[in-house]
Amino acid sequence: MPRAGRGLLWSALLGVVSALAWNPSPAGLAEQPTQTGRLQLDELSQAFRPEYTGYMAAGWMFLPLPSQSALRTEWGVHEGFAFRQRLAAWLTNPLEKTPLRLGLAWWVERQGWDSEDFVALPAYGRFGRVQSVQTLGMTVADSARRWGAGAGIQFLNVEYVGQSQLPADDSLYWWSLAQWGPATVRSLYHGATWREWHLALDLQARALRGGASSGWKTYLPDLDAMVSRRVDGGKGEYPDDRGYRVAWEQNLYAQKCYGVVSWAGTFNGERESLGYSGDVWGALRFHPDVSHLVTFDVTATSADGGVLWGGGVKLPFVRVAYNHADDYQNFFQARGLWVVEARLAIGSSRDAFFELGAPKRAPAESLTRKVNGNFDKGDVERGHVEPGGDAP
Amino acid sequence: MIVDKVQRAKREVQSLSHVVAQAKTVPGKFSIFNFQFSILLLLSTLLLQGCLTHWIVDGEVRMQIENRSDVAIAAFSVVDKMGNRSVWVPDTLWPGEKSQVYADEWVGSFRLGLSARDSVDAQGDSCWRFVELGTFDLEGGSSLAQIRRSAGSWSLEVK
Repeated sequence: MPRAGRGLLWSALLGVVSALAWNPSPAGLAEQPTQTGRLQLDELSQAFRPEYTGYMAAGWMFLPLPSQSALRTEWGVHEGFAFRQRLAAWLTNPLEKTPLRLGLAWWVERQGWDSEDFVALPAYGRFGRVQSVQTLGMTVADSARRWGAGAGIQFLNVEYVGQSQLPADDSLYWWSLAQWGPATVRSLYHGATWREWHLALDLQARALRGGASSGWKTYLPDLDAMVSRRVDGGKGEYPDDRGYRVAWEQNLYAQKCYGVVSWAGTFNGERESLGYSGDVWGALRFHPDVSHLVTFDVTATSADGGVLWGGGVKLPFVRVAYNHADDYQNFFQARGLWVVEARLAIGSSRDAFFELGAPKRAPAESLTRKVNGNFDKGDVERGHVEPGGDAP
Repeated sequence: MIVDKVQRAKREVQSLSHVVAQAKTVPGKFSIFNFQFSILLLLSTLLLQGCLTHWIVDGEVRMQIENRSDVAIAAFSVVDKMGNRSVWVPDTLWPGEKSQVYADEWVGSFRLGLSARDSVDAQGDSCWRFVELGTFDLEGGSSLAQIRRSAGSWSLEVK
């Protein structure tokens, strides 16, 4: 292609990317940690199953141009970068002479807006905001009896608040969860005051959890109900400011096509916090494979009295989305924006790997090494076993 | 400032080249494929990444203003929705004068204004009035703002 043509192409591309931009607000940035904490516990609840042995995830949102997420304040529109970086790990180890597995969980997300982009070292610009949410805890599970329990802390840390950003205090919460069969009960407390209660029923049969791999049981729904109460960093309680969220996930075809609907609101009809402010959102998801490592989806979410349509593609190492409901809820109400996220999210159940909520393991090539007949354990340890022989 | 950055980048590339050359010349001890070198490379990348696009996109405006009007001006400011002002260039400039360069993070779209000398009172003190210049898109990097007044209306041209 001639140089002028390439220049024109790049200019057109940059023009399109710049046009598809949105302006986060200081209020949206300040409200986000509450929803992020909830998301981390939602993920932890899904990753922590008595039948599973581990989960690791990472994500890094990349917006290449400072005009894509320019911050709108009372001073005007500031070019810069909204960012979201996250890591998650849940690792388990069997407890000797017992059927139990002990686990350690750590979810962390650093998010905000800054005048320059970064991976680890923020610029802490004049109008920036840098905050993080961490969820830590321990779990114990018995896969034979299909029960598990966990507890820990959630820490909302306001690292840096620049000019025009809303002030906020650090917050420390306590969480606990218990699972038995398909049921999960979860709570979040701030001191002695309850903040959230969840009840989830994962009725859909999943082969990974010892359920049926086909048949009518795979068409049972996964249900999630939550009630919540706003607590303002320990300063005061809002007894009437209580909210709810009800979600229904339904297998529509062969555990490859799913429909998800979520209703949320407040009991007093007022806005409570980001993510369930009278929100209704739905998604239609298609997974080419039952391990759910690849996802194509279309989403719709209520936003400012209208409906925001979006969609995306999720691959094992990258996610590309436009106007996606997840980004609206988890990335400062982003809309009209192409998002590219470098990501990894993989759960394990001994030698099987899968995406959260998947019914079956990912297709994996297994290597069988045949050995010659007469050898002892010492041969294996010394590496004296030769491949390719006949099995004894 | 840009020259400084280029020089710094050159030095970093040179030191990295030295490390790579060392990795090639001492096989086994410091191979490009060995674990320590990978960690070093990762750490270097992390340290360099403080601002990935900062090499091509500037995060601040280095502003110099030039008074091409026929009256003295001062306190070149950014104005918010409520009319509050944040002074950017504090210098007082007589006609024909240029200010010093002041760097700040006003990259984006903002309302700008300044104080213009209106009259002189009986004691000989200057009386100033605030003039709004309008909303301007400001790009990162060095900018020269020329301020003019003709037939009582003010204009600003950012170069």
